[in-house]
Amino acid sequence: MKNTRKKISFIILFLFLNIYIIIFVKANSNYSTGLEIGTQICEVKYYDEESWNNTVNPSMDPSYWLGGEANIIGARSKLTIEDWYSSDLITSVIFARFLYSNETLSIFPIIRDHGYGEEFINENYTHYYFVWSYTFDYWSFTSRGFHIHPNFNFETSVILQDPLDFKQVLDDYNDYAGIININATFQSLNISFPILSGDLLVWRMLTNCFRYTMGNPIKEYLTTFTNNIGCNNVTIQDNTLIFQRCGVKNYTVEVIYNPQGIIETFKVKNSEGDVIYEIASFYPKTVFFIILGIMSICVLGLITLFIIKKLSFKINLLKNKK
Amino acid sequence: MKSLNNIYFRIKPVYHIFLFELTLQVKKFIIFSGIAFLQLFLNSYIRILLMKALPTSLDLFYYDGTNYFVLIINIAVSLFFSGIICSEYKDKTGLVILPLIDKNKLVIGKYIANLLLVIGITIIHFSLLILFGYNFYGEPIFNTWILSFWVVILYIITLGSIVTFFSSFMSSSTLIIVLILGLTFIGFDFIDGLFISLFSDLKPIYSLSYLSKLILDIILIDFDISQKYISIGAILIIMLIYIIIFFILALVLFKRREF
Repeated sequence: MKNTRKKISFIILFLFLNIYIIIFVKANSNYSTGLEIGTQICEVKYYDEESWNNTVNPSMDPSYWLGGEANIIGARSKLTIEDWYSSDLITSVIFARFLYSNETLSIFPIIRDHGYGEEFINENYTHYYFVWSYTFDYWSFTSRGFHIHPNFNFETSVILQDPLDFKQVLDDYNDYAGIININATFQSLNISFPILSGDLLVWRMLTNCFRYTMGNPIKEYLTTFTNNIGCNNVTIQDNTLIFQRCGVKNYTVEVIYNPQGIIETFKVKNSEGDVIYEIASFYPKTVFFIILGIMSICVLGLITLFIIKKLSFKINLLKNKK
Repeated sequence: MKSLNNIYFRIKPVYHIFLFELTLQVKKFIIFSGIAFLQLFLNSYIRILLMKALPTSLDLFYYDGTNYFVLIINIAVSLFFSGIICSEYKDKTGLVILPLIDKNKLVIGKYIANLLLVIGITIIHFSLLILFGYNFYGEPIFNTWILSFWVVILYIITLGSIVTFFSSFMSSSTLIIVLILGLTFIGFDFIDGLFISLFSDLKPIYSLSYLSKLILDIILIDFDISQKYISIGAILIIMLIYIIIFFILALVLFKRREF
């Protein structure tokens, strides 16, 4: 009996310690996530087509970058975050969630069939990544009101808990892409993986903004992340990421992140600093809390009125008695 | 002019009973409105706090919110309607009122007042559903929401008629509440189970529990009504039959009832 008790106590103690060890390992990062369950709506506020054509590229309008009808003023996109949780992921999953483009994903089954799939990646790149995973629905930019069903339904994305890990991810991926690209079989099949630079990775993150969010504090996270992967054209000012690019002429893309780590505004400016394209966002929860506030004030007002009426009635009654 | 005066004098007592019943039941209305708010708050913010997750789509959020509301409606209708007739006998208030007022007018006045209060609670719930849904998911889905709202209203009228019927011959409102809650929570489901096991091809369209499920199913975007129900028309007819039969029976029994 005593032995059984001891065993049970030992198991409980082990589980208890194990929980704390996990917490300790997870708490290794100085960053946190500000993600909140809810919806963000983005709206194209400004688009000067002529300036765009003269500055960026006449053959690529904003929808080429951002999808849907991002080239129409008033078009809206919607991002609904349904849940988030901490987890740790192996390299193959990080590659798939972070770095593969749609083209890469479409040819990946062939890569897998030739023995270079997930198993190969996880055997050769053994790093584990602590992440915050989140599930979301995303509606692409549209000027006609949102369809009931989202364009991306129940998708999952991740935020690396430590921005220093981006370097490891990028190095491992480029190494893996190099192996694929020199393979004779894949060369004969005309299959190749793009080699990613730091700048290219950041650009992908900006143009697929619903898929990539940042940790908190934003400024430190962005600075560590962009410095570590060796970005040459990126500067960070507070919560703003400024990307220098060259099209027809030089231009900049300015992106402001909100405390949740999601892009709040997206601006394209020409070399003179004039805005030629702008997306701003808002949160329905703001409207909700305003309405709830008004309702609460009305209810409180009614209660106060009721109490005053009752008190004055009692006072009158007392006066009459006297 | 004379006929108009006649109508006015006929309606006047109903109107006074209606107003009196409203003031009598207003506390219950406030409590149930608070409960409607609380259950949506629990279903959203507390759920996020405990599970860090929300339903995967807005229609599922509406579904979950209304799922609990159907229970609230069953309790509310039982509480509001159970005393319509029997309380006049139990508390002996009928001894004072009934010689002065026509029995039909008394029932109609009380029925309409209670119906409006329960519909008021429903309006509050459905408005809050839109508001909470907007908070988490953005633009509301009006087409399924409005259909579900109308089915709830019809369900309330139906259940209200049945409760009024029981109130017309039973002695205690507590007994009626227990009976109705027993029927809606367990009774109909139990009978439906037996019915389906005996006649697997038929659908238990007589069952209030079965009809109440339409409130929830119709709120889902991808729901195909023909798969689970005969048709909306048939369900509406069944509910109308329930309303008419039980209300007329209640009036007849009340007329014959004595102290």
